[in-house]
Amino acid sequence: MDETIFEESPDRSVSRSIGDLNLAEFLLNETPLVSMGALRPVVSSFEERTLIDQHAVTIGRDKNADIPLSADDSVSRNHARIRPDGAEFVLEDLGSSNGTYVDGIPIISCRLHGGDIIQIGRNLFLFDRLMGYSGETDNKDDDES
Amino acid sequence: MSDLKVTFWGTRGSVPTPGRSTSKYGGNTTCIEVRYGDDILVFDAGSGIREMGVAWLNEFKGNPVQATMAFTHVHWDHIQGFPFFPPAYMPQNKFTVYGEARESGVKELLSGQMSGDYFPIQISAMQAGMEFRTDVEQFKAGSISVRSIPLPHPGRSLGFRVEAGSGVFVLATDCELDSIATNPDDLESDFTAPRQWDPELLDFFRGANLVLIDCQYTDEVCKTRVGWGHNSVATIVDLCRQVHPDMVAISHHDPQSNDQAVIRIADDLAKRLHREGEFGLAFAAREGLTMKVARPKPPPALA
Repeated sequence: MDETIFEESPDRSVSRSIGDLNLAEFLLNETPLVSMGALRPVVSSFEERTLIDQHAVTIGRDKNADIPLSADDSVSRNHARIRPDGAEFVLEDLGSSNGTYVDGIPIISCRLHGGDIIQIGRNLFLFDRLMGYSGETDNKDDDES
Repeated sequence: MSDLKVTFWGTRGSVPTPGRSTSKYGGNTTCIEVRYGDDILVFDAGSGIREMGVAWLNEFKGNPVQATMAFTHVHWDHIQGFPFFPPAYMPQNKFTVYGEARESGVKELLSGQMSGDYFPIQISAMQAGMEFRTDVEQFKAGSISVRSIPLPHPGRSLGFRVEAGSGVFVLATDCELDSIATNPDDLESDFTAPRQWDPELLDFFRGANLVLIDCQYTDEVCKTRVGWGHNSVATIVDLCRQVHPDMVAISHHDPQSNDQAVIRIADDLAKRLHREGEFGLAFAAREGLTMKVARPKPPPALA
């Protein structure tokens, strides 16, 4: 393999390449562009794993919530939401009666980290961070970190 | 009625410590934001203040911001973020800045770290109105009442007690409380022995809903770092046993402590407090967490 790192391009700007591979082009195409989260029920009557991407996810007793916890009367109608914030995700309590907890700490809002334990009413969820690659975001389980 | 709220923007001690192994508790150095209604009070300008500044840009969208800042002390990790605090460059903003009177005041030290050899932009480029004050013993930030107490740390630091509405928050980062215990011989023979402290110090902490306090070291490490200016778990256990806070959040996490190490220190503290019959909530402060300063409600029993 050609080990040339710097190579003068036809327009006389210098680009980095390894052999025929243009590094900038490769990195821009292959660097993870899509940050995703997932909420996995640990103790809950709601059993589905919920993926979170560029849209906020609502959690509450309201049946129209993205994560409806209708069976739990300790959950407020609009209890909490998780919203993307750049490449991060932020959990916000929406003024619930019984509070929202991360790792047992009552929060108003909290930037989430993979492995955080979230309690809402009598439900416990595990927050996972997933990294998706541009154009390959439908196979996230393989990329779980 | 408003709630007293606290946001942790930086909880790391000594030096910024970015990376995957510290991402849960964060790598930014000390910066703590307190709000009560429209009143804003910021403690320290460690590297965490940069993110706080960016959050303010998004929140206030160019509208004027008026805030009070107070410095516990001026060691590097508590001032290094100041040049990267965008709201300080905006003429519509106004800050009242409190710091202890020293040989070099807060203003001189903040501007010194921005002098030509260190930084390309001088403090004169900061167009926000800034009033520097040294009357730190007692002051108001809008309707937030603040008073301070000297704490033992190389070069000295200040602890702050913040009260607004029914909330009481005590900030005591960077302190080695064992060094002012009046029974050092007892500690020499038994590191977990009850400390005897000045009643004035204990009163300063009493009645707090939330105490944010330096607990950089495990007991074992602390024994090898006497005089470095930081607390151990044993010290915090004993302080809580004497002043009973509703919540104690440990901070100034050691740069050598990855997330697992911070969890182990907080877990050790929580278990030992529970054994002592102290049922307040003990945890490690983490970046990006906003919480209410109030007696916490226990969560509902799980389904």
